[in-house]
Amino acid sequence: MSTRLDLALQEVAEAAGASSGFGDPETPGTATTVHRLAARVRRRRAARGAATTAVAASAAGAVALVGPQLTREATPAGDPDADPGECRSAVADLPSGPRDVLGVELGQRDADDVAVIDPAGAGQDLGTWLSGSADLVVNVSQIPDAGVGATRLRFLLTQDGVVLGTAHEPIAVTPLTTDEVLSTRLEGIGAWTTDHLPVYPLEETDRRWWEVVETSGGALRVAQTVELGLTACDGSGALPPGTYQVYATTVDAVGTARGAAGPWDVEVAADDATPHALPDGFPQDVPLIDGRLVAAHRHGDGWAAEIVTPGNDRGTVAVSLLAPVALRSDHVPADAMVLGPPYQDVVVTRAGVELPGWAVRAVASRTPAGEPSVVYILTARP
Amino acid sequence: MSTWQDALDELVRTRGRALVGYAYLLTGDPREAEDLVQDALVRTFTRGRGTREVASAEAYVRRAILTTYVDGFRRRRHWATIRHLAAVPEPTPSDGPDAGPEPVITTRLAVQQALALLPPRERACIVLRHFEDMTVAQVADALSLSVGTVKRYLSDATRTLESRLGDLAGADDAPAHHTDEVLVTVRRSR
Repeated sequence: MSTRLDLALQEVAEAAGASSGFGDPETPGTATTVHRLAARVRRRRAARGAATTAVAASAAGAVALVGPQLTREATPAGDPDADPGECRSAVADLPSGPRDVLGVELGQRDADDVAVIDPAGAGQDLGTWLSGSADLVVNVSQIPDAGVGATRLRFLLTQDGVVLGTAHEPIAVTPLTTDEVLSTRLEGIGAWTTDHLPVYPLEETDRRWWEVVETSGGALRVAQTVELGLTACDGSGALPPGTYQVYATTVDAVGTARGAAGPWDVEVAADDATPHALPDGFPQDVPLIDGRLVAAHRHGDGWAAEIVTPGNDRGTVAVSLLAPVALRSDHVPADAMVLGPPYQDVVVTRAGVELPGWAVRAVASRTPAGEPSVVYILTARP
Repeated sequence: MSTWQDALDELVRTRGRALVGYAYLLTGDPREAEDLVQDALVRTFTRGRGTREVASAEAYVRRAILTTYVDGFRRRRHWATIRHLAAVPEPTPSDGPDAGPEPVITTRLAVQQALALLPPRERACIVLRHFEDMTVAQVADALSLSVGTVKRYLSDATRTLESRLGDLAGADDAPAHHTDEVLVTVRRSR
């Protein structure tokens, strides 16, 4: 008896598809899956659009300066008498009366590009970050009654109850409803709720988008992306490694803070600059992320390596380290991935970032023991 | 809803499982297959190739699945753990070419195990040739390989599969009707 290979392959494929929940029209989770896919597409389109804009500006001889996502406030350093919510002020000074309820849920995006959101105290922290900013999502469902004139949502990075970093975002004082967000911002994909939950939107920019995210309890929220700079408000630069507590408050037009939500923990990762003990022959001119090298060996006609390092953004950081030494081209292939400025002319193919002699893929991964890592695959270029 | 989101929604709901099945043939891992499909969907729709009718969008997604897999799909998967694919357990006595009266399940399992023995490019050649029903020339074009290379991959892969499965009806690159045991096959929608 012989095996009919074509039929057997068909049986295998059909069985695999039937046992997968992916795309099952009867499963509510499919709507969430489509939301997430659409959000990823929007995000990548936005990134490509931003890069295209920068290229156009460069071609015109202009100097394109892309500012950080959040505007840093010029707050005085080390002022023990600072107003509530200001740099070096005490968290305990934030107004907390019955008219100061602030409904904020914050979440992090993990290394797999999935965001989870929760109120403070729900056990959902905001991750560990290497690059000086945290890729977060936020939902503001209530602003303080006393803060009718609130014009900004301010994030406070604190340690030992003292504000060490601040960043703020313009916020609308008139809420949308969740349904409105779904129908107008997310274009009606799967109206999964009949609740008219209020949502106070942050100012919309080219680099901000709406998405549907889950809470750790499985509920769904509409949320906006926020890139929270992990920078000291006293002008000393990046916050040193350690764990910080994030609070949110609102600020009106004259700078008065109303309401407080938090804390969520966020960690600024320590840099482990231990030199990597690479095997003989491993290319020395490929910049690798700092951390603990746990594997490096030949991989086909190339090399593979794995480095244990923390950070939700470790994959992005690894790619950003490759970009400065990568090949550049005025004609980036249409199917190439586009990096953000100033590396929009770096060639990134499916094989990875193209360096002289090597195409290098760097992806966030985990070791079999569960430690966060970055895996490098080096493929020889002709 | 915008056009591309309509297409994405419809594609996932109507063809999502078929795409996962196709990706599973390549990866041999259900979770990795789902990840591969999702990455391929994002890649396709990011490039604006998913705004046509579902059949056209699906073709682009299948192509993205294939190229991502062949070029070394490692996302969300630790490369070192892939080695276990080569350590396929021996088929049980009821599996494989001597399968008894319940051949469908046992053959499926045996084929899954045998596929896991193949290197990525050989596996891709087998899937394209015998699941996607491509000609050797089409396989070569899809994988950016020469026809001779594809023939060699198919030959090597067939030898490996036959070492586990016994004779493979229809695995020869000669037209299917040359094989006595091959029946007329009405291909079902995948």
